[in-house]
Amino acid sequence: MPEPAIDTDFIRERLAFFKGARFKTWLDICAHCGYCADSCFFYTAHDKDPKYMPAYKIMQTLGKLYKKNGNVTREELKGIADIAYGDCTACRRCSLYCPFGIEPALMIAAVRGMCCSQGLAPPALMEAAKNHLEFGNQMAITTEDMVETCVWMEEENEEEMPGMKIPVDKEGCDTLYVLNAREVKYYPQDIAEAAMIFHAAGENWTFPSMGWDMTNLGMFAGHAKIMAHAAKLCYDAAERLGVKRIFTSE
Amino acid sequence: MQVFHDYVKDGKIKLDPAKKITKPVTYQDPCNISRSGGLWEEARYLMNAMCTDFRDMAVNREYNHCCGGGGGYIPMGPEYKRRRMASGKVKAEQIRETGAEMLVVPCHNCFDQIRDLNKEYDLGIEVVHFKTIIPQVWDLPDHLKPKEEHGETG
Amino acid sequence: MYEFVTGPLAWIAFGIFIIGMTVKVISVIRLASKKDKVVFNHWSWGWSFRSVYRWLIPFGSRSMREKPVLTIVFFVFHVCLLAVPIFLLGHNILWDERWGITWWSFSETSADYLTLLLMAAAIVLILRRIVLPEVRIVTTAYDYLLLAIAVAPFVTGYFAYHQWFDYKTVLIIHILCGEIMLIAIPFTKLSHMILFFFTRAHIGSEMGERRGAKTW
Repeated sequence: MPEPAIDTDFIRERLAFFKGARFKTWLDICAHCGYCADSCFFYTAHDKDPKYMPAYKIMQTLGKLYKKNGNVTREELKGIADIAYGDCTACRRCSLYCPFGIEPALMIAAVRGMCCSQGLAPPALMEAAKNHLEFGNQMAITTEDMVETCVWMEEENEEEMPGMKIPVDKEGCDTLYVLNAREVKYYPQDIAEAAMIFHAAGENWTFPSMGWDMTNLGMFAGHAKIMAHAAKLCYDAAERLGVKRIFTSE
Repeated sequence: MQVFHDYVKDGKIKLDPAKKITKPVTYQDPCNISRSGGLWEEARYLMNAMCTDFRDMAVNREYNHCCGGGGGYIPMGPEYKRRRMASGKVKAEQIRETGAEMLVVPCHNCFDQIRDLNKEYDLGIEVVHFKTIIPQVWDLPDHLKPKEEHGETG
Repeated sequence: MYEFVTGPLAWIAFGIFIIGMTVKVISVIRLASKKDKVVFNHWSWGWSFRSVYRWLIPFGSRSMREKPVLTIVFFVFHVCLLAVPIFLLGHNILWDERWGITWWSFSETSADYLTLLLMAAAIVLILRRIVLPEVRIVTTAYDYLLLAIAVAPFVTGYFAYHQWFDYKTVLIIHILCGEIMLIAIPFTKLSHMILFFFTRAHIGSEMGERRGAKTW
């Protein structure tokens, strides 16, 4: 089956949308001075291969899209996606090194959004991101499994710390605790450790049965809908349980 | 992180100085918590409260290097792993230079990435969260202590 | 011809420069308030001011300290670029004649040395673009053109001062080059002479006010 053509109208629309004062000024004044190069660990890790220097990565992605006004072939957009997802972690370190304080990370995020809209986000990332919609977390863990894990962890640590509880969906607490779904899936002991600390500190806390994954793969993939959904789940949980604050596990 | 710092600082959780970790320990500043979260001094307060030989990495705080697993790099899966390991070289060398045997990191992305780097670059380092270490070094009030111990003392 | 380039054309050049920059600044602020509202959510004059100040003094930022040679060259280049034309005796006399304004000026010898210094800095910047792979890869013809626009008034001015070639012609070319530069500023990357303050203030606030991280 031939691959679908790129929806250039849509990309043009996004390019216009992003062209606010910041993007416009940044792209207009970047002096190609090279101060950013050494700040990037991709650049230094690849023996100073110039194709990893931040300004070049922006020129090859967002710069290219603006130059061609969105008229790119699927092959070209694939190349752009490869840079946007694979050669930058959006760590923002280069922003501190740029004399103009340009933020390549934001521009990479914008490019990821456009690539994602054309189905060019890394498949594994996209699949995990979609789990946010279906399961409310990136690891496709059902609510039953999650609650079971909590009970299991409570029992497991009974001896270590008597009286420790992992209260799920308790209303009227001070604190809502949310974490990274990887913890539940790969490191369940993490929940128990946090619970022990909360118990020792006398924290009045609860763990929501839905909206407990604080990660947001929609943001990383560049999928605005999933991004908003994942964030909303957490805030909904906080509202539903009437907590005063949210603690994240990081 | 902020919370654990406050617990320790406000005395809600007491750490036992005698249990302090004596082997060299370093700390990874995650981008989202340090550069984008402004919580680097809190981390150092905790580190110094928990261990006797805290060694900072060569560039740290808001100028830290990303572990190389951020921005969704880890969930991109095995296809990207080789690239992830190659670009993580900078972090691996930073860690090696500290000579630390243990690394504390509050971020799960960094945690997984540094564990992978540990294998790839043979760093021989133990990677842990704050929440793993705090229970090892705290000084619990009697009523919270494990049953056996409690029985012996009382 | 001399009368024309120092009379009406000078008015036009300064007019385009001043009006162009004003329009540029207003449009950036308007666009920001329409499409970049987030900029104002975390705006902080304190962080903005420090962010700008730290990057205006030599070695004021970590980035500059990590690349000392480049930093020195950049400062020499930019300081001379601004100071020489403004404080040149010849320019002051001319402005006094035409517009009746004048201020302190360099001695002619020091202006001469500063011009040489600027040209040397420009040569380093050009060599850098050719020699260093990480700079070469981002360099475009446009970057050389901008350097040429910025440096041409100084080269021609140096020639005029030393009365090489036909003084009258060189002087007119010199004035034309200066006017081209003034006109080019609002429409090219050279507009960073004003926009620098905006982007620096923004990153200072964004990283500082919002996250407590210093951008210097």
